[in-house]
Amino acid sequence: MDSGAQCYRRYLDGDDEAFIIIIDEYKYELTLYLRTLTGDIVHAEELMEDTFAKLFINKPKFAGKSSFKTWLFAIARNLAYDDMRRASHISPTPTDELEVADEEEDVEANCIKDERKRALYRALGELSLDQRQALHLFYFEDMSCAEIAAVMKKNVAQVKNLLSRGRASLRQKLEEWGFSYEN
Amino acid sequence: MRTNEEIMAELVKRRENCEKERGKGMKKAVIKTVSFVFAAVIAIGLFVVVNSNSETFVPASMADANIHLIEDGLPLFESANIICYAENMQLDELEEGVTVIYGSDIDVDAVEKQLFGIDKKELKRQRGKTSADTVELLPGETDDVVPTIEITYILMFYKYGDRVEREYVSSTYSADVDRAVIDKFIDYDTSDIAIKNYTKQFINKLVENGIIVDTEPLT
Repeated sequence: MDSGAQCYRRYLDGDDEAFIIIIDEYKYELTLYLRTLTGDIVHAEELMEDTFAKLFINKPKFAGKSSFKTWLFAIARNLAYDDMRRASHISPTPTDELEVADEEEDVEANCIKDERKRALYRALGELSLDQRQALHLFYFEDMSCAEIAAVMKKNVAQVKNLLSRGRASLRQKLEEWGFSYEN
Repeated sequence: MRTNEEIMAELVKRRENCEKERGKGMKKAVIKTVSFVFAAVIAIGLFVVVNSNSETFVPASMADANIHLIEDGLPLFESANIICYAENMQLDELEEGVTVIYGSDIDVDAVEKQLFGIDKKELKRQRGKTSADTVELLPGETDDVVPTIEITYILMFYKYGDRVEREYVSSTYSADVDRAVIDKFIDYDTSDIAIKNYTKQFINKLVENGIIVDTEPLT
């Protein structure tokens, strides 16, 4: 059982402190992933808190069919999609751009230490939502195709296809930005 | 970004609010359920009266038909029965966004309209076939022939408000059979055990077909 699953088990047994460990371990990764989905760091942070709230309040059972992280990301994805569907007809709330830029740098700096990877992360924003998610989970969360498939509710072949097409688009985009890469 | 402690404090606050709301929600749910059952009983009563001139009859047990709604593993209408299913069948493990409806044709129509705003035309188009929970003549039968009674219950599966699967549970009886025998079957079809079994089979089929992915098969 991974550490996330152990902490969650402890939380279900009544230890609230264990939940702080879960927050600490996953909050940046989750926010970065949600930022990939929503394109908005402030919104991503709200969804990150909503994801934790879902676990904290509803206490859904973790069956252990996947890793805790995969399960958590799948819950976050569902929440984000649900939210996007609901908000599709609502104009976004204006936010302070400087504050947002600071937040984005804060999250990126905590999760992505390598400058080249940061460029890669920014280039992902140019891809389709599915390609973006698949590449993000693959390169930034080190998930396997099977784990990505579980998070995205797709089969492994579809994920491989998304990765392949996403990489091609990404390569083109990075070349346009003047990056060179090794095959 | 907020610190871990700030996030935790926010979560604790939300949990407390949620517990307060849940208390209020219980009261509302009881009122809703009572109103809904009352309306359903009146509607079915009227239906029986309207059809009382024909040779056919609508079993009285239909008035007892309940709507069983489960969303995100939590019952929408909190009746004792539904909570019992959720506990026994571990429906709280259903992935989010999932709604399962069990009920007679008429009742499910009403709930679909209420929940998803689907009108009758759209219902007919989506459903692709009609079924009835009232007396129905089989093809080739005329009024001279002893009619049969077909009672259909429906299980509907929704994901985020989109219907993705349905299943009909039908029983056909010859109307010249002893009324008590029919009533006995109907009572079984609307019993807790039958509903539990139908729902369990239905959900397991969806799990097998990969339509529900975050749920273990129900035992």
